[in-house]
Amino acid sequence: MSTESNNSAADRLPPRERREALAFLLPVALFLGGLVLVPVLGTLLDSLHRDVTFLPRSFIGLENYRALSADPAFWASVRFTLVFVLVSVPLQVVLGLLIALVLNEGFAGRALLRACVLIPWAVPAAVSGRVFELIYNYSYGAANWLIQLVHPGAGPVNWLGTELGALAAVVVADTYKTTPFAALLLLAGLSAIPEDLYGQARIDRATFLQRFFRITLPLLKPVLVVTLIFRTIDALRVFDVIFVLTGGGPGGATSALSIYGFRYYAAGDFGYASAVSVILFFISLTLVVGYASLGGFGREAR
Amino acid sequence: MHLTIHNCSKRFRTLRGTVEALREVSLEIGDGEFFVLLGPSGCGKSTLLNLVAGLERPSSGEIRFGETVVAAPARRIFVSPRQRNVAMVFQSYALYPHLDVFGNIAFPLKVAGEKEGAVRDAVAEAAGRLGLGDLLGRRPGELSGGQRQRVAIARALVRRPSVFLLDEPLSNLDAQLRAGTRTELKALQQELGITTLYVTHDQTEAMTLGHRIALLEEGEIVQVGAPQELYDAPATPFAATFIGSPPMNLLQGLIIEREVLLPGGFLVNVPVEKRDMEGLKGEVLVGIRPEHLVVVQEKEGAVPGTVRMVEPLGREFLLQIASGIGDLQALVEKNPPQRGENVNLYIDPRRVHFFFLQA
Ligand SMILES: Nc1ncnc2c1ncn2[C@@H]1O[C@H](COP(=O)(O)OP(=O)(O)O)[C@@H](O)[C@H]1O
Ligand SMILES: [Mg+2]
Repeated sequence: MSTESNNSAADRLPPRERREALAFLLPVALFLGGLVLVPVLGTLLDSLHRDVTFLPRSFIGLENYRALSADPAFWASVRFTLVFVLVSVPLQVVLGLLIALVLNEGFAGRALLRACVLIPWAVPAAVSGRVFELIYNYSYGAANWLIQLVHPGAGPVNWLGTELGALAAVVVADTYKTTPFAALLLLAGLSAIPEDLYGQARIDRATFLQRFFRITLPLLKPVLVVTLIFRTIDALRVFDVIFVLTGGGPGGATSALSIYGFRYYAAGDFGYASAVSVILFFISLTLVVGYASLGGFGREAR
Repeated sequence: MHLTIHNCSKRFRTLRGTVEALREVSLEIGDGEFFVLLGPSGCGKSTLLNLVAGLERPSSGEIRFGETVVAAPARRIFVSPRQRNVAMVFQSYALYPHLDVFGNIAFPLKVAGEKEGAVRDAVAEAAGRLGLGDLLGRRPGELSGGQRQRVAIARALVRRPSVFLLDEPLSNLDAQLRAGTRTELKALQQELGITTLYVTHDQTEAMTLGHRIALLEEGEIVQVGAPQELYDAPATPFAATFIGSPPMNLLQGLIIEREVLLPGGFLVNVPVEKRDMEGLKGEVLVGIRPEHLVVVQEKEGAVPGTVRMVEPLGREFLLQIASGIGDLQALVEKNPPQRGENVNLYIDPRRVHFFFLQA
């Protein structure tokens, strides 16, 4: 409704003002075009070529994609990436929401705690990955020591050497690192909800759960969707944590799409690796468009 | 519902120290009464309202709704807002931005799990009473200030509360709308007969709306009484200057037997009914309302002064006068003197207020 009226308003602008409006939009258009559109199109184009370091580049149409779809390792990567996203993103967003809810309550020392919660996010992934590698070590890691402590009968778990153990290890390490980011975004959303609304809801005799589901959640929805978008895109292209912890193993069990593609880049097969990137790009795009329509962006008149 | 607030104090502990928002406040509010809490910003009005609502807990004291104790920290009693059946209109109106007008008014009924048909009827009735029938589909963001305020009131009234709390509900409206809404609020309260506690910093609002007013200053009650009582017999210099517009003139005086000596050597007789200050000595504040200063012809017994400014108020004129006893404000109805003119002011001793300064 509002978009329509905006469009007609733009159409009714005198030519001079329309030119000015376009001039104001130009820097953003150049920025987005130069830094986003050109690389995306370049990658797309490259994926249609045989582009290896030791041969001249030649156009081969969809040959890279055909080879991809015939590779079981590629499908295993797709499956692992989706499982990783489906497990880690909800976990991170729910945990982040819980942390944000606690940090949004008024108590002494809240500012200090807010700063502390951000620390894992500030630590480089390569560093926290190494630390987790030590934690998951079979013979002297903290994870197995804890299991022995809680459950003396149980034997040590081979975290990084089994398929399920490696998935759990990677999810936990990634969650540790990125939950603070989700919490921070959600906290910003929560603090934008006026305190009076909660007072009013208590006066209106809403229970704690009713206040959460009828006020907090609907008002947080736009921020929640943005958080989901950020986290999903990030999780789809997960690389550093896996690279440091498992290197894609054991036996390719944790080889996310980015790891799979990286192997071909590293080997000099740029055309094939570009095809992997293009597929990752379209998966992201589909999910973001889905989320955006879920969040109802652009429809609501504020 | 009869309300009792007994010796209530409220302290807020913050990182910067303790704020004493209320000190030993006691009030009795009658069933069906329109009771106004009046005071300047920061005096603790909202805090007191929140204590009654149950949004805050008193640090000490006791609050009773009828015979039921709803808050008594000494006995570890605290009844949550859910069980108090109060309704409240916040200064910000606190409308749920994601719900339309219908959803806002229906909210208290829906969370109580009432049936859809009953909700629709109750909302239609409340919306009709406040003239919101055509706006039920709108979001708060699409309403004017006056319409939002009506939605907040409709939501407050929809579930028949036993106590109705309003925190400066008119302060966000423009002057004209404020006067109209004031009248409507008063009529609505009279019709429904719900015990009402109304917070405002505007003495005109307090005077026109309240059956009784409690005047607060820095967390303490200065005076409680009917509007006319507060106007006619202010208990302290603060009450004298806070209530009434333009405010009362206050002058330093010295008690000398049965007269009070004003600056410049003028003497005012102490009227018979105030002779109980006999025997008192020392300094006193003398208050005269602007409308009780009379411009007279004869100089005998009058205070001379020069008119500094004449402000027409429509029905009357406000004079700023530099006089022998200090700067004064006076109200005259017709034939105002010119600026710069010399006038004689007669002070009627029966209309003078005396405030003793504690030794
Ligand atoms: N939650 C709080 N924490 C700390 N101080 C508060 C809090 N609420 C109110 N106060 C303090 O209590 C005093 C009274 O506040 P309030 O009741 O809001 O005043 P009013 O409504 O009369 O303007 C003020 O000094 C205010 O700063
Ligand atoms: Mg207030």
